[in-house]
Order: sequence, then C-alpha cells, then structure tokens
Amino acid sequence: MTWRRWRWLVVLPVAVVLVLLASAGRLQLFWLPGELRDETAGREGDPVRVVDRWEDESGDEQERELTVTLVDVRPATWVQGYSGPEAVDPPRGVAVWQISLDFEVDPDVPLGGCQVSLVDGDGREAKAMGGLVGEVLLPPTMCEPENRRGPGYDGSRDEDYLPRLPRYRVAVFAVTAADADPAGVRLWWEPTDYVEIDVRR
Amino acid sequence: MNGRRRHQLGVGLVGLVLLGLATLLDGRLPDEDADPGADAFLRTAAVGDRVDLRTMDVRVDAVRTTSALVRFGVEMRSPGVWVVVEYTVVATDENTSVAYAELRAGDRVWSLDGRSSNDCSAGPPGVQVGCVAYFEVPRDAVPDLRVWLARDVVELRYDAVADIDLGLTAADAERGGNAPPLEVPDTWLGERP
Repeated sequence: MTWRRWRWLVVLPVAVVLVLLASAGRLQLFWLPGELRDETAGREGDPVRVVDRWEDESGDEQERELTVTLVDVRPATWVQGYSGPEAVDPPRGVAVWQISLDFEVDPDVPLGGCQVSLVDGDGREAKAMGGLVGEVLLPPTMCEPENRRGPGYDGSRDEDYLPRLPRYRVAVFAVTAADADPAGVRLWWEPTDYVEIDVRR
Repeated sequence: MNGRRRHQLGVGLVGLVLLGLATLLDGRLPDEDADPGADAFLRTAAVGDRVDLRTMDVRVDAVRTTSALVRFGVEMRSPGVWVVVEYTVVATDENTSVAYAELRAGDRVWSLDGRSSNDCSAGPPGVQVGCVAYFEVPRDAVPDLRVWLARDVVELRYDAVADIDLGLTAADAERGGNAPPLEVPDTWLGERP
C-alpha cells in the first residue's frame, strides 16, 4: 500500500517541532534577556507610572517606582555650554531634537545610567547620547538634574552634588536624520523593562 | 571456504575500507573549535562602491599612502607605509558604527593594534558619518591590500563584513614612502566638510 511506504513522513512534523523547541532554548537564554520587551506605554503630556526592575550585583531583583511625563519633543535651538548658552546649528542632513521629561520620584531612588532614544515614523531609533554636532557639544543623557544627584546603586552619595528633589525636569538631546519625524520616545535602564511614550503629531 | 568464513572476511574488508576512508577524511574535516556555519558573510567590493552590511551601509571614499602621519600635532614616521582609509557609514535602523577594521594581503593581516587606529562614531540611522582608519604596513604588502570593515569589534560570526579591494599598486607604495607628512583627516557627521 502506498501510504505504508510513506508513513515515515508522519515523523517529520514531530522532528520539526523538536528542532524548534531546541532552538527556543537559545532564544530564551541568549536573546530575550537583552531585549526591551516589557513595555509601559504612554502619551506625550500624560504622566506615566513606571515600575522598573533590575538585578543588583548580588543577583537579587530590585525595583524602582517613578512617574515620568514627556513634556515635548522640539528642534533644539541651544544647549548649555561651559561658558553659557550655545546655538545649535546642525550640519546639512542632520536634525537635533530636545526631549523634555518631567520626573516625579523619591530622592532616594538611584536613577543613574538611564538611556533615551527617539523613534521616528519609519521605526528608526536614534539614541540620545550627546557628542559633537557641528560646533556644539551636546551634553550626555542623564535622568537627573545637572547639579543634583540621588544615591548610586551601592547607596553611596556624591558630595559634589546637591540632593535630588522629588520633582524636576531634564532635557536630553537626540540627533536624527533631517527627514526624521519623531513618533515616540523610549526610556529604559536595563532590559527588559522600558517606557514607550508616543509623541503627539 | 564456507559461507560463514566468507561473511567474516567481507565484514573485515568493509571495516578496513571504512578505517581507510576515516584516515583520509581525518584532517580534512573541521576540528572541534571550527564552526564554518558561523563564518562571516563577506561582501566584496571596490573603492567607491556602497556595501550593504544589513545594519549599515559602508563605502570607502578614499585611500592614501604616506610614510609620515600627523595625529594631534605629533608626527609618526613609519619604516613601511601608512595606509589611510576614509570611509562613510550610514546606519540603517539604529545607531551603529564600524568598530572592526583590518587590512589583509593574502594570508597576512594587520589589525587595530600598535599605532594603527580606527575612528568611527555610532551615527544615527539615515545620517552619513565620515570615518577614518589608518594602518602601518610593510611596502611589499601595499599592492594587494584589502580592508575588512564590520560592526562588532571582535565578533564577526554570522555577521556581514565588507571586504573591499583598495586598488593600490606598487607605485602607491613608492609614492607613499616619498610623500610629505599627512594629517589624519577629521571624522564628520551629516555631510563631508
């Protein structure tokens, strides 16, 4: 009978499933832990309540709670230089955006090492990370005020800075292509938690 | 010779043939550390060609040779030749840079060690970033030089790598040896100054 001759083919889908399961282990171990996939979503102008988890040096899970509001995203016209305000004049093909964020967070919560990016309408993601654009040096991205700091992750305090206040605003700067149309702001510390705030367009 | 004996002889013969084949194959097969399935995907090109590296586009714009290179006002003389490669990177979806650069001539490789260097910042998607890599190589290597450019500083497995023929000749090696000191070009963002 013909089906008897080809009955071994029944094993094929089982083999495919087994191969996929074996690969899924790699996905879970090597890829997923480094990806931003636990989203807290919000919209520009609306306060977003965030619970962010991270693993400390001893491997214990810690979490911080904060409220962040995307005030606006606008073309940057100036930045604070060492000797006062400096005009932002990006080269052709480049745009510089000022992202204003309001934070409401306990002054004893560590906030160092935050990362911010600007996502455009085409899904391209430009990281806000400071650096030289034209003649102007954009400040590095921080989620704490320029002259105030909360504790470090080891609980230490930097005496060169004033203590952080419970509410404050920061400005971070993202460099994009000139044709980029800001659609969202992404904020995170360690994967996998992140905040995605839509820009009102 | 009875049937049982013939069968044993046949089994022995097949065993010997298999051992012989295994001996021939041994040494030709990949060793324990080899992983040919993870080899980088080489994209060959020439100077001026745009090379799609999946996470970015790369193009070598200019190649120059000299025996004296000036960096931050300090002159670095070479008994061989400095090869200066200017290239443009455009990231595709997120900030990306070329962190891996090396020169190759046949089996010889010159990596980013010693006085050789690569200066390339991670530009945002869709923006041109001008980068510079310079290498110190012996003169006899110059006519065959190719540059490899890739995203990660150490990890080339499964990734796309630009393999670009620099198009240099023996005359470039001679000219480089006699050329006046060359200032390392500045990197740039947006458009070439």
